[in-house]
Amino acid sequence: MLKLTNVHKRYEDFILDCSMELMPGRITGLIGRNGAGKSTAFKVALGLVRPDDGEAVVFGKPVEMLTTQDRQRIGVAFADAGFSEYLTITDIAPVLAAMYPSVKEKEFLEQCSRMELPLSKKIKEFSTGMRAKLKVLIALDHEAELLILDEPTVGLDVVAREEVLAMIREYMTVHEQAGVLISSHIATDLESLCDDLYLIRDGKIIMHEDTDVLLSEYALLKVPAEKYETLDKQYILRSKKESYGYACLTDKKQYYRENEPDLVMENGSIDELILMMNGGRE
Amino acid sequence: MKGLLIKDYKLLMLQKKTFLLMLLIAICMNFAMQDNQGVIIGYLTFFAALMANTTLSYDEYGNGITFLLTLPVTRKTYVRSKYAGNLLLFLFFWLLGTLLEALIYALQGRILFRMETMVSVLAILPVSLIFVDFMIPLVLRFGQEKGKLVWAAVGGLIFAVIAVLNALSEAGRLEALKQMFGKMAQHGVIMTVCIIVLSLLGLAVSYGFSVKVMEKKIF
Amino acid sequence: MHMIINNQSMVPIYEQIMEQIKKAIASGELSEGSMLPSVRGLAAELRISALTVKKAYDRLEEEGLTVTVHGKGTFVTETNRELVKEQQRMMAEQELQKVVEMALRGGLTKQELRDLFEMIMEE
Repeated sequence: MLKLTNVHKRYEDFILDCSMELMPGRITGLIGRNGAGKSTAFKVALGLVRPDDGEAVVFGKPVEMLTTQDRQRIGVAFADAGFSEYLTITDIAPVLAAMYPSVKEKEFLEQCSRMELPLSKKIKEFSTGMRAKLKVLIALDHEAELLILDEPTVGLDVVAREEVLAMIREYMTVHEQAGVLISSHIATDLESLCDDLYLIRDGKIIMHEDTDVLLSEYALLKVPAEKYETLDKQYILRSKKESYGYACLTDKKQYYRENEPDLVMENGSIDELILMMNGGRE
Repeated sequence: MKGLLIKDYKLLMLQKKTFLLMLLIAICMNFAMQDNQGVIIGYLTFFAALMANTTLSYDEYGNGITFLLTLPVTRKTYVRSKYAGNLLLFLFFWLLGTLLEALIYALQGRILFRMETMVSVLAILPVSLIFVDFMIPLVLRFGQEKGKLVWAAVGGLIFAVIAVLNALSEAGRLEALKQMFGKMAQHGVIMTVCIIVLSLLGLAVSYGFSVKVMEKKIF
Repeated sequence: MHMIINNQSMVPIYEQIMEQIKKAIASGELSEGSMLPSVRGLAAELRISALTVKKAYDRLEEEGLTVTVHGKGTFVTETNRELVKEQQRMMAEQELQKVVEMALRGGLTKQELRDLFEMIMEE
């Protein structure tokens, strides 16, 4: 559905160099620290930025060749860009209805009311939670097949975050062949939503794995210093010195469960994974 | 393009109160001044220019355009919507101004729609067009802030050229040119056709340039 | 049917899902021919990846307990409920075996073990 192949883009202080793919029926997450390149990758995927090298292909076409009809099949939400905040929902409804044949003004307004979004207030007077919900609603409202959501939950409290994630989950139960590409720096959000995750750091993809595997086969071993020397390290991906010895990341939890049953083990969590991939020793 | 125009319209509607105020001032000025021909039209045209600029600045503010280009529009459509919108804007205000002036004239027992006055009334149209032809590509290329500076520079340049032409004319250097123009002016039809053709040409060049700027831009 | 998943458990989530579905089949809560929740639907409800649910469903199908009809859904097959019960019984036997061995190694007498068992059963 969407494919970035060897996309290379050079900025003054930053180089993006990545490949990723989104398949239909999947929710794919892109996680990384602020400034790691998530937004840039999305902008390349949408044709807002032209890469120096490599290509971005959407719906089988190079992204520069997307027609207006193609774009009607895409839904986008940016954390820092959207409709002018001087507009109200009532202002925006006819704009959307004019752009997407599947959007009916009345239904859109009803949907917004149901989500408790004020129809006649200017967007700049919305709370952060309301703004986020509106952006996602706008992206979801026209039955898009491809959804690109750049940090839709940023700045939200845990309740609002869950509401936004629920909107996405619900959309996928109805549109099973849609594809969602979502970015965040909040690992727990993506853990409970995504089917597979790309980890990006300094413009490069450093890991791509199914969430299922990450949570079931990855583990954090807490190895006391004495044990570390003799530890079988063939499945250790990263190690980090800790006060008790070493924290070791492995992608073969079963192996260590069987061979080192006394070792303290924690389930893989994306947060730990990021910390280890960002700071641990190989 | 329709969606974009609706959006710009909604944004312009936010300026309703300012508009009414301006209108009031224009009417007052009209009655306050001696030689009051064209005051209202001029004022409203000036306001139209402000509004035209606003449609561009709202998009620039807060990364609006980054989002807009992910909607079902092409960069060309965006440019088109700006030209269409701005030209409609000027047309609307010109019509409004003209009708108002005609009304006031009628109330004063005068007629607006005479040869002499109509020329200056109609002249506003190509001038507005020139404004749009310059403003849109400049703002698209240089952004709001720089665009304004560049625009001021261009405006200054135009005035400088006119001043020089005027001076030359006074000094009797442009007699041949003047005679030619004089002859042409006699043929009102030819003049009109010339102006229309030049206007359309200017529009086409400006549009082409704007499209090029947009196609190249990254966000 | 409502499923409860323990995210902190060492048991992989897909296995937890399988176990709960098997339990429901064995107890009759999920009768033959009844449809399991859609993959996406269950994933949304449990807040997990759809692939995890799919894995569970695929394994269940491998074991002959369910069948997936493309475009329609996943259904409980007309397997003998007894078969599932038998599976559960065997698993219970295995675990009990382990527990008994561990208790006896730890020094408990057979009687203490029986008493302990009775006490637990009463809870």
